[in-house]
Amino acid sequence: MTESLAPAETLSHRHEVEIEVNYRFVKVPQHVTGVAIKVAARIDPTFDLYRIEGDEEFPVGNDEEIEVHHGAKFVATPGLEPA
Amino acid sequence: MIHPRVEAVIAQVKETFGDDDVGVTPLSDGSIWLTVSGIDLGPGWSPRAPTLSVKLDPTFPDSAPYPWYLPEGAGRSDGAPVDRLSGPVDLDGSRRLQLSLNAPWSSDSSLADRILGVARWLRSAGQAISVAS
Repeated sequence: MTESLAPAETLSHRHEVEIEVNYRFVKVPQHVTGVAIKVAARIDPTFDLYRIEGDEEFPVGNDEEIEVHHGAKFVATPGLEPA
Repeated sequence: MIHPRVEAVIAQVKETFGDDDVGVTPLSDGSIWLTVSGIDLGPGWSPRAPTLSVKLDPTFPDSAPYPWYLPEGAGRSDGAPVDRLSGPVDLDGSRRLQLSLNAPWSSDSSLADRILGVARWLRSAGQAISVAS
C-alpha cells in the first residue's frame, strides 16, 4: 500500500502555530523569520523584535529564522531615544 | 468630547491592554490623560507594574505622545536613579515622575506599540541593574 503524500500547502498549514505579538494573537509557520513575525502581526518591519521568556527578552533579527511554539510571546517596539 | 481620530487610537490601546487597565481623562483644554496599568516592568522595578501615563496634546495624533509619566515613588528596586526619569513634578493635581523618551512619530503610528516601546525601555533599565548587581 502506498502512503499518500499531503500537499505542501496542507503541511505548511499543519505546522502553523499561534503566537502573541504585542498582546495580539497571530498565526505563523513554526519556523519563521523575525521580519515574517512582524509582517504577520502587521507591525512596522523596522521595529525591534524581542522574544519574551519569563523576565528576559531576547532580540530576534529580521533575517533570523527561529522555531516558535504555540503561545510564544514577542514584543516589537520602535527604538526610543532620550529626548 | 474626544475627537473620533483620537477615539480610534484609544480603542486600539484598550484592545491591546484591556478596557480595565486603560484610563482616559479628557481635560477642558482638549488634552487627554491616558493611563495604562498592569504592565510588568520586571523585578528591577518597584513597584513592578507602575501606572504609565501620557498627556495627549490637543493636536494628537498629529503630534507625538510625549513625555511619559510614572507615579511618584516608582523607580529601580535598588533605589538607583533611572536615566531620563526626572521629578517629581506637580501636574494636573498629581505628583509624577517625567520620562523623557521620544522617537519619530506620524499620525498613523500606533500608540499601543509606542506604549510597549516605553515599557520595554523601562524593563531594560531594570534588567541592566540586575546584571550589574
